[in-house]
Amino acid sequence: MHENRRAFQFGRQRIYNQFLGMASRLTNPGQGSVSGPDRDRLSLVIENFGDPVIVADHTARVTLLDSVSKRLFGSDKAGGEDGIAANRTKLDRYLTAFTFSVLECQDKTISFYDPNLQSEVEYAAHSIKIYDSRGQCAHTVTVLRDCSNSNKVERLQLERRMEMEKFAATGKLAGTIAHEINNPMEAIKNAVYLLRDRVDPASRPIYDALKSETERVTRIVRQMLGLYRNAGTFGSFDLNGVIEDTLTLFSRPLEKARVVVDKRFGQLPAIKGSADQFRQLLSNLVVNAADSMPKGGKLTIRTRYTQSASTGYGQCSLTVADTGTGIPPAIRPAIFDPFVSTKGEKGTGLGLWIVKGIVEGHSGRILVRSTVGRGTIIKIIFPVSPD
Amino acid sequence: MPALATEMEKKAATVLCIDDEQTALHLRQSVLESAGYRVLTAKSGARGMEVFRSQSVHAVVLDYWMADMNGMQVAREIRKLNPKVPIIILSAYGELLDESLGIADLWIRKGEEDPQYLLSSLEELLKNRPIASQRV
Ligand SMILES: Nc1ncnc2c1ncn2[C@@H]1O[C@H](COP(=O)(O)OP(=O)(O)OP(=O)(O)O)[C@@H](O)[C@H]1O
Ligand SMILES: [Mg+2]
Repeated sequence: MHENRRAFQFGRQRIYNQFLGMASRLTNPGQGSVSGPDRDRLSLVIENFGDPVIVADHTARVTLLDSVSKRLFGSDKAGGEDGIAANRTKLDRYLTAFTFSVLECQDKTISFYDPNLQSEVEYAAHSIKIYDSRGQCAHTVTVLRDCSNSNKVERLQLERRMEMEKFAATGKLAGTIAHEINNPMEAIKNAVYLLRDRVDPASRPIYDALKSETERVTRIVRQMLGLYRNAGTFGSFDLNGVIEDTLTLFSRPLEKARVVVDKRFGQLPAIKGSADQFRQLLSNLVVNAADSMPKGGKLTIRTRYTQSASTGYGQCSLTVADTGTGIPPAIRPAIFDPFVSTKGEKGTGLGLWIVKGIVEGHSGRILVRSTVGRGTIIKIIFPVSPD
Repeated sequence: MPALATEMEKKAATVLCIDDEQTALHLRQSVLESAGYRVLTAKSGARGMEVFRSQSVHAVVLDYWMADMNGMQVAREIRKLNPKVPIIILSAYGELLDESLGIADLWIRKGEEDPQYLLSSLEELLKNRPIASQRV
């Protein structure tokens, strides 16, 4: 889950300020307990915070871990890795000491084992108490900030590399499974084809279901294989050209769906990476955009290149925006996870997961902005090194 | 006129199907027969070669993964005997593409394509080539 966080990080500083403001308001005795809209906002803020956040009750029992801290402390059920169990013990000790102390807030340095980095990481723990209407401590909120700022870049790189390796390994596994499925799939498809004229009318719906479900498996396998096939070939390519090619491929269906395409291409240098992967990325985004506009609409595709005058380093952005339904808020935190889809049998839920893998493979970031009823903007930013 | 000729060619055409998986082989045979082809089957690469040597075959459809010899080996052997006969290799594995260039006429990703794709490809390959008998 925490991988998605990067996508939402653009708003983090704002969220941090908001969080501190809200927390201090809530810690103010006489303001009532955490309830109603404040509580909803609090959980929203916690979920989008980016740093580990831990909420505990007045007995120092952990009541809420955001997804980042779940990574450090495991989910509700303890167990799993030794490092995580040790983290849990340390956390419990820390929380107990703070909760039963007279302090209203506290700052302390603690180190926890990071399962991704497989090493101890120093955190500045900042804890506050939240009081109920009678002025009793009802909750404690603890935020962990990573102190090893000096290593931050290295850590990000390491994390990114590990994520890429994970993605590559997942891709490979997905590919193997997909291939194994494709063998029997051919037989199944042949069987379905042979039955096409031999089905009595009463059994027709069953036959149709068999056929369409078989096609669904094909779509899942195709997405998985796409990921596998495109694993390797890195080179240098013209991104605007790749976009043109891909759009040509979709021009018919888009026209039919009454989607107007607005292209705004900037001057781009040659991009280092995999053109095939970008094709796959783009078609996934274009199909998603088109799916979100069943009554037609506008699809905007924009590219831009900006370069830092001092360092020569540049970055390229690719934006795909639609005027569609927007992403349902309930699934927003999970859209980059595999098999998350609202399209029922028409979607595999692998599209954005693949997009994320490709973007990370190019050291890029994804920003998502979506408003229900108005549309979705997906912006991909990746670095272009000079030479 | 051309349509009629194609229909007749198809009627006359014999397809050799090679695969070591019985169920898959049987279903593929039925699909080809439903389109009017005469189908010979072989359950191994070696057996396939025997059939190819002894009978008149107009096209070969073979699986890449077989226990005894892989589809490429079979295709190469067949090419030695007859450089023109259309060969279609079926494989669930993508890596075959480069390797098969120049040997097989077509490589079909197993499971991803509908049976109609095999049928229309076969028809196309048989239309574009003079019908060759097994020996050159
Ligand atoms: N542009 C968009 N507008 C509205 N919702 C979107 C958009 N892009 C993605 N979504 C939502 O995110 C979900 C996940 O998208 P993803 O591309 O991963 O899978 P999918 O589109 O459902 O399946 P597939 O890509 O395999 O067809 C979608 O089901 C949809 O609910
Ligand atoms: Mg999609």
